[in-house]
Amino acid sequence: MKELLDWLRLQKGALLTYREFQRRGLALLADHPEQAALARLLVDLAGRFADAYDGEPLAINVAEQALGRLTEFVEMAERTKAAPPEERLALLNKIGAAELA
Amino acid sequence: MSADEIGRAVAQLLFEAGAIHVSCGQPFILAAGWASPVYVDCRVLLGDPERRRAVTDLALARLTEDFPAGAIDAIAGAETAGIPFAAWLADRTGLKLRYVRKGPLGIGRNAQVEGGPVEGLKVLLMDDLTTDGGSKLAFARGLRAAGATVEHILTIFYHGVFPGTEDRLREAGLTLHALSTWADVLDADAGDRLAPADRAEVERFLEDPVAWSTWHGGRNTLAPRL
Repeated sequence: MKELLDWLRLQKGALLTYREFQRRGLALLADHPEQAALARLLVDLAGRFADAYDGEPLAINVAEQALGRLTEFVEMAERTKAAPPEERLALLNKIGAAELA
Repeated sequence: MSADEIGRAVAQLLFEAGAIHVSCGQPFILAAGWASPVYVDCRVLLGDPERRRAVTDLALARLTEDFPAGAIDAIAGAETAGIPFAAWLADRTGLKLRYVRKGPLGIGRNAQVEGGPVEGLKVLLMDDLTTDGGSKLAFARGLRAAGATVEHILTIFYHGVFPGTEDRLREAGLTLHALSTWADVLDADAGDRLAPADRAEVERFLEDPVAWSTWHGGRNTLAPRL
């Protein structure tokens, strides 16, 4: 998750960022089954956003907001890695209910 | 009809259909990460019977000019907007039609190419838009992985401004055939559809798209960022 976060912090938030995020998230899911639920929800979140803007350019404010939100979720995921189960479940529910734009 | 004449005619259709969008105050971030004051939405042609027929006619003229008979066995539309344009052109030419997804689904048959086998076929990849060629490489890889020979791409519009695009495609053994580019758009009769201030901003962008993108918060390098 830390590696994913480090990579995400270098991105500008173009649509390709979200497609690549999906690819990296799926690799994380495969390599770290203990984080599978979190990775799956993050991948789906990024995928819904990419699908919504498929074939369209993003207004720069939408791009900045979406990247900020996704980065925030990945930061929370990294922070709660060793947190109590209730806290981790709360994060899963938060990501499950979220949209990036 | 020459390629230049086709380019100007397609650009004219794009203007008439309202496909050319300019936003000077709030730049667009294109899919590949470039910031741009303009974008072209070829999809508006889909719902317009008269103009989509005209674009298909022009694509057919270009196809006839660029390819000898028998050079192509099938046209593959790129998901998503490339698919209807490919379907109309395949219908007009009598060629086979396929479509290619952005990637395999990862479940079920895991297929990236649909519509039938492409093994051993010479396939023309068709899409609505080409920015820096990144997605075209991925589509071509998918078709080749399924056994197709892919050497040519046909797009309705090609930005033609981001350096290195044609080199990347050439290195991958691909030749781009664009019906229209920004040069055609600026040559076309825009009437009152392109305000002088917008035209000036587009021209500033076209003078140095990488610098314009960098200055406006977009991608700032030619190398892939991913």
